[in-house]
Amino acid sequence: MENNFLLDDDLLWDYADGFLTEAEKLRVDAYLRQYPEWQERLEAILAEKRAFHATPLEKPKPGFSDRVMAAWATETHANYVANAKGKDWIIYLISSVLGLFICAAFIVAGMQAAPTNLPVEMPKMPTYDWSQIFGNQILQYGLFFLLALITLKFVEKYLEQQRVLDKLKTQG
Amino acid sequence: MSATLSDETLVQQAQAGRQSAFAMLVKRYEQYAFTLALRFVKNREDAHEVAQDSFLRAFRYLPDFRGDAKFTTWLYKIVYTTSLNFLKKQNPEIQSLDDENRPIRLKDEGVADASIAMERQDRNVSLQKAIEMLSADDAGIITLFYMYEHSLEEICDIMSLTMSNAKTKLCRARQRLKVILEEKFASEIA
Repeated sequence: MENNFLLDDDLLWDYADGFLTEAEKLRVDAYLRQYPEWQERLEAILAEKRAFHATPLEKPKPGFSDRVMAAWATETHANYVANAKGKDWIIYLISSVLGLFICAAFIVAGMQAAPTNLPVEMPKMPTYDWSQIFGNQILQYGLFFLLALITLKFVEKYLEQQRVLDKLKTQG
Repeated sequence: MSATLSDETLVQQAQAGRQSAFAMLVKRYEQYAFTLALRFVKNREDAHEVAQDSFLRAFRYLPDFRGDAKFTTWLYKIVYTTSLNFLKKQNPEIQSLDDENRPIRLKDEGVADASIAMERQDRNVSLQKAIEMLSADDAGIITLFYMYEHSLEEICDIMSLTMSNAKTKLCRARQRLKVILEEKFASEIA
């Protein structure tokens, strides 16, 4: 045992906490064997460490975890609403295109159904032959394709919304 | 069932979008997170707020958790940061929970607490009360190391400390706790 080696409380705590190197540990071990009063002090430190570990945890108010999950559900819902709001223009655009398409269809249908032989002579109105446009097969297929696309987009948005609502319901 | 599933499994399930898995993690660690928050903010109401906020943050950032550290280390780091932010909001001058130059704070209420503890003859209660009387930083490091049995490396990660700094802080916290125990709870620990 080196004469200049002195054990103190901090070093003993470091020993108990496992902070010492192997060489330091051996020196403390030897010191403890030589001075039983320090062995007693070590026992006290170990008892204190056990007491620390046995200290009861603080309990939050009952229902804490439920409140956390409810707060999370609220946050998720708020995020969804915020995201959905940001995409409102898509819905408006789709609605406008659909609306215009329906209006155009009504106008064309109305023009085709108009009586050609009226009992009175009507002043001649300048007319335009719409059939030149709507009679175009490519345009007809194009419009049909556009309508199908818009419908599919609507279905997709609707299903997405339903999925989120279902998810929120199960969380709640 | 929650007791049988490991943290890793629950984290993976939560990352895959299973909310019940996260609910289990919250249930499992609510007392640990709340106790740690209470050590830092020193007020039960505030600790509830901080603990709840910490879990919400954990939920938000869970997809980024890659499992390099233990889930608890990651969670306690969030609790520490949330507590620090909370205290900064209350007092913008606070930069850290470090109190190197601050004297040991012995609250008057400790005397009343000591008498209650004496009646109960409960050493653990005395120890708990003494930890409560420590500063936020000291109480935090004592709780993490001795109560939760986290390694010094993990504490460095949680509290953003260097190894030598953490060792010094732990030693200083222990000395301050000893002073409090001797001054306020001498009869119980005798």
